[in-house]
Amino acid sequence: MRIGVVGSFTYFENHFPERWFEDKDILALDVFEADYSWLIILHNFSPDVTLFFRPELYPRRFIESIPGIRIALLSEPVPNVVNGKLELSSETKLRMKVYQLMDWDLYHWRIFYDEGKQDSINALGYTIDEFRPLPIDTATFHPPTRSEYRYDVCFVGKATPHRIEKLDFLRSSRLSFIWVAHGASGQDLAELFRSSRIVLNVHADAKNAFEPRIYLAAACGSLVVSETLSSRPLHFAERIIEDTTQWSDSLLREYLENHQSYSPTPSFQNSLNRFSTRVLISDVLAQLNTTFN
Amino acid sequence: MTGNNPSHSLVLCCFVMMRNESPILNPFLDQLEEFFDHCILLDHDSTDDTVDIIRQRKNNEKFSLCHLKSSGYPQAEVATYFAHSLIQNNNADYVFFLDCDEFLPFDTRADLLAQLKKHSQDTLIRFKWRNICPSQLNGDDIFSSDFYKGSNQNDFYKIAINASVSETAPKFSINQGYHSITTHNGTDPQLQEEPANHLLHIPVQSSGQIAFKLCNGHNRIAGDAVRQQKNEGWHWVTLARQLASSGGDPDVLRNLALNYPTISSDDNAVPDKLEFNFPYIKSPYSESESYIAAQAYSLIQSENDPQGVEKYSYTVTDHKGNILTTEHSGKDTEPAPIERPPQQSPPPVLFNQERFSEQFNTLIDPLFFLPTKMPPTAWGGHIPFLFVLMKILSPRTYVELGVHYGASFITACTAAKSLQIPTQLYAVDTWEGDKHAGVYEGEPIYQELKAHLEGSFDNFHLMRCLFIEARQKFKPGSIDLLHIDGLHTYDAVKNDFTTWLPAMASNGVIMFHDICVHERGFGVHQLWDELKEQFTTLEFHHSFGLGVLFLDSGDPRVKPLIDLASDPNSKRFYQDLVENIGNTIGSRVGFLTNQEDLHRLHHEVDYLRQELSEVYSSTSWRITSPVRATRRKLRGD
Repeated sequence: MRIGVVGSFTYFENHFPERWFEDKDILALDVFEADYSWLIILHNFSPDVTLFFRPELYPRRFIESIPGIRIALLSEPVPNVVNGKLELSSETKLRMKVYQLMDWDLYHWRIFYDEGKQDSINALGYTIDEFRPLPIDTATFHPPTRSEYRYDVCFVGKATPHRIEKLDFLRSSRLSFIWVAHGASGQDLAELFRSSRIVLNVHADAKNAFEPRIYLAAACGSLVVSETLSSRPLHFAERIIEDTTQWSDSLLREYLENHQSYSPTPSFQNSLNRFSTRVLISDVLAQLNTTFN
Repeated sequence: MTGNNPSHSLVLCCFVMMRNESPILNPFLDQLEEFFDHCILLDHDSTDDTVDIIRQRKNNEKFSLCHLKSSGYPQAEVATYFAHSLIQNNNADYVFFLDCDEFLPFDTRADLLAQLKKHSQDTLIRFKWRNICPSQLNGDDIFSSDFYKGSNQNDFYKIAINASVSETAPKFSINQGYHSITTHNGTDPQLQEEPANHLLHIPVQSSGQIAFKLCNGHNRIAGDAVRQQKNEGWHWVTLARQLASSGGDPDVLRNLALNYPTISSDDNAVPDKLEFNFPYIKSPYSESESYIAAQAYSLIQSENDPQGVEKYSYTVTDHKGNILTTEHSGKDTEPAPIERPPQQSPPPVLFNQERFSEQFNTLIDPLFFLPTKMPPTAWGGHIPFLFVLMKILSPRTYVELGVHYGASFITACTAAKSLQIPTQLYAVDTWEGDKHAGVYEGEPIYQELKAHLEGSFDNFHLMRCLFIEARQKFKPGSIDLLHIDGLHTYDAVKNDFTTWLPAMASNGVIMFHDICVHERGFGVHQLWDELKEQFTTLEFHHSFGLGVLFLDSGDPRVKPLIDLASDPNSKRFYQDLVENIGNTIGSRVGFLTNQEDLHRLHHEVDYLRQELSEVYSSTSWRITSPVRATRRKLRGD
């Protein structure tokens, strides 16, 4: 089976199919937004199935020329529904503008990443076939075979005023702490997660969200401690803690003491399998009643 | 009989065929300078410093450097050609045939001449090999210390021919290995073995050098079922295994060297020292990094060589790129006739039923690929075929001479990415135009091409310079696919061809655009007519014509195209098919890109309408309505 993948490497390579960079039957194209004619390369490659990350970006005629099954993976947030109404703001309106360009009918299967936003999607009238978190390259993001930790605590993400304030207590903590603002992705990011006992999740601003790094870190066996999330984590439940209290050195020490390091369990393995990008493709093809060699 | 020269000062010439001999080359050239008046140095696709050493040699007037392009080893053919040439054109009295590891056992040229005078009545002189081995094999200068000598039992000879052979046997040919000649007139050559002197042969120069040599030979034979069946070359495998099992034992190495190519079981015999000390050698033996790298890569190459009896093509050029001799009949270069089973398969036909799937995937499917962009071009109709060629060749390097808007270069880049080939792609142009393309403002064209390529591709290189300047950047044999589309006068395109030919791989392919243009001083058609006589070619007559030249018609990669070109009906069908598909390229690519622009414009209009609607319904707009009304009145609207 030939697989095409379209998505910005910087933001989405962690979600590409397993071993995509060495598999000749997979062609992954990075996004160059000034000119989308590079999508013609995919026409020439003639994939059986293609994953499109940020599908709302791509012009219709290029997508139409790409054969095979087209799967759209939508990952831009939508506003919440409060008291039966969409909670709109200037920021949410700006975000939703991108969806105005989306050609919904071009895709054979449309997946929205946030399982807690079904009401919002219904209110917006978008055509979504499945609510499912972004898949993960589980060949890269997986638990360690042996636990060898270099850090007690880790955070990955750019510095914002909210994050600086939230994590300030760690400057005087005796816990070993690492904060990587940019540049960690793929194997490097997975190694970082696997060598950290706790991975923190702090939103860019004070608004609730559900960042992709939560499941990426959990898939690596880390204990994820997060601020309030926009929806309940339905997977890797034993590895994700939502803590709405004031964070402190003693709080994290308590987690380190009371929560065991990763050990394989059937439920964890089930979650990991379900997140696999290749499993997602198989599931979608099964839904569409389609098979390839 | 002293050949052409009636005077007593004999003219001595030498023919040398070499490949990756850089460590021993300078000492060997010292020898040539001492003994010979003129030497042909034929390089066979060396990838180390061999050619550079010759070019940089001071006082190299005695040397004529030539280049051999061949995937096989046509030693007999090229030696024969140059033997005749040296006798006729250089007035040679004697022609020697030496390999770079063979040295004459005379102190000076005068000593050699004295020996030759004793054999002035002989057509041939045979020198028996005497294997010698350096006392140190660690890669240091072997001529700075002693040598051991092998026994006198070696049965291998090398010949030197007297020019008189051209009178007694005008059609003589040199046999493979330079061991004898064939007269072709039923007579035997008059020969004399030179008993007093041997040819000193150094088969092992260092432990590393012999390891590479044996492994190469081992790889070629061990993977060649046909040669194994004929029990040919098996000694390479045996010697390689003997070396490997010894772990590089110095005594085993020495024994191997002194008895090469036979195998001796007596590793413990203590050899004698050689009394001769090579007084004419002034340069050291030296193994450089590039030599070691070239030998290592050749090991990988030798594992992938095609199996079975090979049909060789070859081309010999001089240092300027002029073709001296060439052979592309697919003739077998084995000196002895070999029985083969009669041809069972029918003549090649396009869409042979049994091979339909393979032929479709190779020759048809890529015709429907599209480039990411199609700028203004006269080359458009050939875009589909370039996709086919890229798929067939999977070239390491693609070079384009004359780029302009970049239609063909963008196609090559698209092909490499679509097919996931790690091709390095080079576009050479000044972007200033010429009298055929017209002088144009190149900067915006260059910038637009660059921007498009940077957005979509890796592995491309824009070389904004003259072709001759770019040529210096490419090593011999490094280009697999070349597209010549610069100035189209006969002289210019011929100059491009001869200049860049040495940079081509022996199985490379060259494309020529505008072979069907016979006006405005275009001379590509004239050169094409000449080249068709010498090479296997395929041509298309639409879009001003494209000529495709195969340097090696025996290359299995291009067999589908060679088969197709050899059947008139298939060839015509394919030419028409490519033309028809090529005619649709513009509209198919334009449909995609123009529609994309239209789609984007529609969305922009919708967005602006929505913005305007919000402005009109805003409070500030309503409040300022009287102000706008007053302004309109003042303007008289």
